[in-house]
Amino acid sequence: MVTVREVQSSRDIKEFIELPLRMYKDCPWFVPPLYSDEKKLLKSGGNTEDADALFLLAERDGKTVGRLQALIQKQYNVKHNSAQMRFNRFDCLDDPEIASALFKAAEKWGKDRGMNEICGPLGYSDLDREGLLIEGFEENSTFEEQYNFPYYAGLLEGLGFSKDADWVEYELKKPEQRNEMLSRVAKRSLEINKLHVASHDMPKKQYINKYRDGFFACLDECYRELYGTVPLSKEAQDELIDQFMLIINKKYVVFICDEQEKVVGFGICFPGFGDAVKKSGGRLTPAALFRILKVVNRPKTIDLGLVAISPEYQRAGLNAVILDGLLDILDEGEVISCETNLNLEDNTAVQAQWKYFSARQHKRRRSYIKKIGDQTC
Amino acid sequence: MLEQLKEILGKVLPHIDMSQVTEETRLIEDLGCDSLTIMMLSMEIEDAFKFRFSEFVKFETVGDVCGYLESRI
Repeated sequence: MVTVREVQSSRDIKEFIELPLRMYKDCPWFVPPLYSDEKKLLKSGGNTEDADALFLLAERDGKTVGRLQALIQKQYNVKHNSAQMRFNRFDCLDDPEIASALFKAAEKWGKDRGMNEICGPLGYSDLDREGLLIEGFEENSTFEEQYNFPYYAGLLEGLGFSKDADWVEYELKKPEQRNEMLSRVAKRSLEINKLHVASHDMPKKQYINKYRDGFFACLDECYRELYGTVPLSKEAQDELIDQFMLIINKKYVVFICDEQEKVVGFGICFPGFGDAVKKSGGRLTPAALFRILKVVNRPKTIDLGLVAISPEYQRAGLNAVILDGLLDILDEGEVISCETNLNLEDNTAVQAQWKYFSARQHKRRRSYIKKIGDQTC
Repeated sequence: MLEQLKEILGKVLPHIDMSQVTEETRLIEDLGCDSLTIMMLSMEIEDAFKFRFSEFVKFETVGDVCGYLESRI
C-alpha cells in the first residue's frame, strides 16, 4: 500500500532530495540540481512572498517511492485571473498507484485553497527547471533542466493530464559556412540605434552589480507575455544573482545598453557544468567546486540561459549582436556546442535564428494540464 | 523605384518570387522577414543607394520602403 505524507523532518527533506539521486544513479543523462539549493528551499518550507508550496513523499513498505512538489504561484493567478496550481519535482517509480496517490494529495491541497486546475512541471518562475522530457531521452541534460525517464509521460496521461505547451531544444554548432552579413548587421544595428555592448573591463562582481537592475527590468519587460512567466520578486532576484556569481563567465555574457547605460537587451550563456556536479550528486564538495571552476573558465559546451531584446528594439536587428557573439565563441574552437535550452514550440521567431548555425533539434519538453474540479485521480 | 527595390529584395530573400511583390506586400507577414533580414535589407539599400540610415526606420510594406527612398534620393 502506498502512503503519502508531507515533508516535515530533516530526514524527510533528505529523502525528498535524495530519491532522484538514487533513481538516476546509473543514468548518464541526469544532472542533479545543487544539493545545497534544494536543501535551503525545503528547509524554508518552500513558501515565498508570491507562492505557497507543499512537498510530498510517497512511501511503500517503509521505502520512499515517489515525491512531488505542489505550488500555488499567487502572482501568476492574479496576473491571469486564474486559480491554477502547479506541480514540480515529480519523481516516481513506474507505478500508476504511486503517481495517483501523490497527485491526489497535491490536488486536495490545491482544491482546499480554491484551485481548479493543475499544471506542470512548472516552478516558481520560468528560471526554474520546468517541463517534462518527452523526446531526447539519450541526450545530455543541461544544469538548467530536469531529466526524467520516458514512462513519466504515461503516468501523467493516465491521470488525465493533457498537453498545455511544448518547448523544443536545439544543439548549436559552428556552421559550415558563416553568414558574414550577420557581423555587419550586428555593428550597424548598434550604430543606428545608438547602442553599445557593455564593457567587460571590470571585475565580475562589479560587472554583475552594475547591470543587475537593468537586466531584471529588461527581463521582466521582455518575458511578460511568455508562457507561465511571472515578474521576479526582489528575493528571487537576489537568489539568482547569488547563483550566477559562481557560474558566470563574463566572456559569455552580452549586455546591450543605450547611451544612459540602460540595458535594452542581453544574451547570457552559462558554461555547461552539468557533468561537473554529476559525480557528487549535486553536492559542492571541494572536488566538485574544482571541476565547476575549471568548466567555468574553459567550457566545452555552453548553455544559452537567457536572451531578450526590449520590445522597443525588437525589430532593430539587435539579435545579430547576440548571434554573432555566439558564432565568435564557437569559431574560437574551445567551445564545441551550445544548448539553446527551452524554446516554446510556437515561438518560431526565436527558432528561426538557429538557421545561422549547424542546428539539431534534439529534445522536447511538455507542460501538462488538468482540471481539478470534483473528479478524483 | 519598386523594380530597383525588388532587385535588392531578391538578394536578401532569394527564395521569394519577386514577380508577385507589389507596394502593398508586407515585409514580415507576406515575405517572412524577421528583424535580421530587415536589417540586411536596410544595409543592401545603403550600399545600393549610397546613403546611410541615421536612425532605425520601421517599415511595414514594400511601399513604405519605396516612399522612404523617394524622399531620400
